[in-house]
Amino acid sequence: MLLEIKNINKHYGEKRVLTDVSFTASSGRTLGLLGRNGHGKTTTMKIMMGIIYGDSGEVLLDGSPLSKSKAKFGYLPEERGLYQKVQILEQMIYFGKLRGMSFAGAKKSATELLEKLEMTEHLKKKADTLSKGNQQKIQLAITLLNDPDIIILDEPFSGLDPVNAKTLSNIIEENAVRQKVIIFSSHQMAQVEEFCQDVCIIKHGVVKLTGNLHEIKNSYPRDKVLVVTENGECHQVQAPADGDLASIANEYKAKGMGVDSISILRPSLLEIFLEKVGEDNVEGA
Amino acid sequence: MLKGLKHVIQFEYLNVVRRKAYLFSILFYLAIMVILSFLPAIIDFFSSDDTINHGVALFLDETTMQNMDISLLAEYFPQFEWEATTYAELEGAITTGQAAFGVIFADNLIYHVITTDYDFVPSIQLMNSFLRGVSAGVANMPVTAEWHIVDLVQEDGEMVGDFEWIGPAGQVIGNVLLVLTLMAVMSSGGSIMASVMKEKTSKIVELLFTSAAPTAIMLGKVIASALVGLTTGAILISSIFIVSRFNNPLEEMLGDGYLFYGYPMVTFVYLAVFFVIAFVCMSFIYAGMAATVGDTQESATLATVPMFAVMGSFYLGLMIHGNPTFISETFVNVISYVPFVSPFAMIARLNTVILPTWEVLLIIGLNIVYTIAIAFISAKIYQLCIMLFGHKITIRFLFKKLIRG
Repeated sequence: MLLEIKNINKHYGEKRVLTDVSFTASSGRTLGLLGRNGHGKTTTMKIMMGIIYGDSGEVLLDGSPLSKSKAKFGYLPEERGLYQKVQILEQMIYFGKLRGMSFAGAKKSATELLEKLEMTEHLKKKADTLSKGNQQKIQLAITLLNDPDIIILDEPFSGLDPVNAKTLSNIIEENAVRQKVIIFSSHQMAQVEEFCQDVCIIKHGVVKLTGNLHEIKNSYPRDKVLVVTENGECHQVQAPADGDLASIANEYKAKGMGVDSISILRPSLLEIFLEKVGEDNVEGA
Repeated sequence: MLKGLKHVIQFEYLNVVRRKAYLFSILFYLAIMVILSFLPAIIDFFSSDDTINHGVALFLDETTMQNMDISLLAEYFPQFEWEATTYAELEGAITTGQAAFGVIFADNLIYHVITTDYDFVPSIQLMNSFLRGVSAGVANMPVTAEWHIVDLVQEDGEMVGDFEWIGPAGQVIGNVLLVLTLMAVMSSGGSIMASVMKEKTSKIVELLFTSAAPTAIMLGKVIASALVGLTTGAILISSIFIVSRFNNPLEEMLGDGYLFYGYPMVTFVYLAVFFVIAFVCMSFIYAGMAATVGDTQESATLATVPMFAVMGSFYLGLMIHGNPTFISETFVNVISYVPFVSPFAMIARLNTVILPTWEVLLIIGLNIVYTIAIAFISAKIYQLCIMLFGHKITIRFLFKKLIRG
């Protein structure tokens, strides 16, 4: 499956929030949607999900307009909401039925997901008795309830403790292996680097960079090298313009220091992100 | 477009009726109904015993006299002494207190019931039940809007004026019905508004929108709310049957197709229809409004607009019901056709007069059209605004979008 977002534009009143946003996501791969707060990530996701409409542009699945009849969606909104006074299992079944599942199918899927998320004991509890983290896990379970083909997660890791973050990571990886299209936004660059094969960086509603993360990193000038000395010290130094790493070893030798290894440093996603969106006020980065 | 509607209705309905607050309100309403069921007995208990059990009947034409034999009145209303008389004698008997009341028949219609005695009104209430029976079938007389007009005559013999009245018991029931409608409409509207606001602010709506069509979600809420109202109504009417069974023999209550306090079954059906129309109409308005606002404080402020309209309609209804003399018939007729006010006016009118079937059906039809129009506009507003959380929604924006849509 290939999900294409093509030239999406969106205004809220006089304010232009998206300008010709285009990128692609394909099944079996995870795309990280990056950008500072208020720069259009969530709006893009909502347009993709058909929750709101763009002013122009299109969202295509395998070349034709995306619709709920063509693929199953799973969406985890940025702000988590549950019916606070309704039992967890009951509201999961409700959402399952709304998505076309049978009562039995929704119940089975909900039970299995809650088991996977180690939430079985909370099945009969009302949402308002659960911690914020656990409510977030319930929302994730609702997102995945109907085994969606396209999974869109808005800041899925925010508010999760390391154990729950690891559980979520496993679920994302598992779904990527099952050839789902996965798109998630995050401020946690390490996590994006860990899971995402593709990235899309948005600034002020404009796509600044998009594509295969590995290729993007490789395309960046490799101007830093990591030198590990024989006594175990690590130094990051400027790479020689001619690319001759031996000259660095010679410099160290001249200073009386043995060199254990010299390797070219690739830019981190954080560095790329900072370069693209600006270094000021980057939250969580 | 309406994918998931059934599930939304089921979820929203169960979400309300399973709440303790709902069960508590049902118990409260049941207590009111029990009191209402014993109301005639209570009023009779406190009324004075010096009522003259003497009725006079005036037949203004031969045909009516043939159809409505005085012995028939005596047969159906044995607790009063009946006597056929002339108009002058009738008025004299009433004003001098020789007779408790008089009934005027003409053109095969029951034209007037005359009394000076306010304590007599419980009896009038009973007589109304009887006369309805007489009018509907016993004497083959057509039921008309004028069958229970009571001309109050003061002690000095001067007529206070023609106004429609069915006595304190009936009046209390009419008022209670209006108040219950108002309360139900307001509480349902408020509840829908709170529900939409909660889903909007908690962002559940984003999950909902990825699962079902916005129109289905909104319609589901409103229909569920109407079903809750009908459930409440069904419980209350059933309770009337049960309580009245102990109060009056059931067969008496259901005799000749009449139900409760002389209300014909069809009047109950009409009342239920207008109740549901008022309910659904307001629910749509509140749901649409809730989608346009950003927080509960704002929604509370905005809610005052329809609230004033509802209160205004309610008081108009009360005025019509309590003393139609103060409101011209033309005005009452006109407001019966005005959207929004119409259900309240009709609930009041149905409690005071028997309207021609065609008029009631026409007004029901118009109200259905109004409701569909309101539903359409509200659904559009809901769809447009529910996701614009945190964005300023102006009337200009709404108008522009609605025109475009």
